[in-house]
Amino acid sequence: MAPAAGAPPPAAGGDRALPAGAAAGGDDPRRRGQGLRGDDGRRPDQGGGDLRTTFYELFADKEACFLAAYDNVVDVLVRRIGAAYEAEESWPERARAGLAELLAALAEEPALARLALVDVGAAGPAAQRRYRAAVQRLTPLFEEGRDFAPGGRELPANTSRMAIGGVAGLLSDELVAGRAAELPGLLPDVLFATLNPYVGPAAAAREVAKETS
Amino acid sequence: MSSRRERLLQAMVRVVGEKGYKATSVADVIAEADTSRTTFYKHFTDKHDCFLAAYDMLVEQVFEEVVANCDGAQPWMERVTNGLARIVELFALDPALARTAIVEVAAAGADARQRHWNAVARFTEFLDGGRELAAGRELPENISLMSAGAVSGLIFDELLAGRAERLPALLPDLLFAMLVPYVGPSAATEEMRKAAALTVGR
Repeated sequence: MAPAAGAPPPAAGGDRALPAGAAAGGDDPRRRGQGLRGDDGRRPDQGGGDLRTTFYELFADKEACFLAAYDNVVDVLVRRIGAAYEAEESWPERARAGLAELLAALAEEPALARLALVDVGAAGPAAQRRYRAAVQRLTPLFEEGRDFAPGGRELPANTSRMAIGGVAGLLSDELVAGRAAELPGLLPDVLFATLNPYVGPAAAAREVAKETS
Repeated sequence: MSSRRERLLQAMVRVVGEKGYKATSVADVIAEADTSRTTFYKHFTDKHDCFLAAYDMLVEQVFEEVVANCDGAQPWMERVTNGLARIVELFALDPALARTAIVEVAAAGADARQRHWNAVARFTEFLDGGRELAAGRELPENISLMSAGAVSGLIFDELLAGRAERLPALLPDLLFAMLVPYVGPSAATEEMRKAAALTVGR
């Protein structure tokens, strides 16, 4: 992954650079504008400073920086998805809005999308646990399907994780093939993958046709 | 294939499953295989080369077991249920193999991840027979990928938590995840309950 604008040079070892958002220091990125990087595109202040020194003032090592960047990306993503979700009424409409926002955000930043969904497995156990924690944060958005679906209370406890796994499978397939720009076009399929475990394929297909026409 | 080469491949699977890909060294693999550095470099250029060969071997072994456990004449639902049950049993019996196959492969580079994805695609070929059960219904083309993603996500979680031995107990949920895209929640719940009854009975 090419270094992002304003990012510090890669840490010792010459490995991948990380998104600018977490490494820029300064004010809390969560108060800034849009985008998965959590920044507003400004370069960090480089006047007279040694970026490598700054890096090690902020992070113990490369892994700590990666995890901070990962947390930053997840925070922004979860907030964007949550806001889109809350703006709608019925669960299928909320799912569609949240998923559309997820796909748009990932398509905007293909390198970060790969990092979050595909490469995280290579980043060690701490990163893998972060990934699972991120999935946990999105679980309530899927769990609402249990109230929506007839017989929803009878479904397995893991149903939300199954739905999320189905969605992740579709997204990973596109990302591994380098087709991040086509993610928004997956909306009907990821919506089907979300609704289906709760309402079954026939009802899911009807809702998808209604929500994506 | 010489037995020394195969011993090295088996050793790679075991060591990576226990220590993780990044922490595994060629010396670890040689020690586990009880062979020599000369022998290792006769067969492989480096750790990565050996890992890719080991992964290919692992995938073939798993699919051979799945096919052996499935009777091609059985109805689709029984066939895929038996296939999934065999995978779960293999993983529970050999947690190092399971971790290498599902978790650690991600750490071994893009070509290793591609091999994992190819293995998932082969599994989805098994599942494609389920489309016939949805006769008259329009199913998305990549429904088998949703099914495989749902199943592998649950397995990944258990392996990450170091709970490979709990996978057989998870089989009812895994069956539900695999079947629900094709047959809907009511029928999938029925299969899940049947599997749960069998699990309790053991």
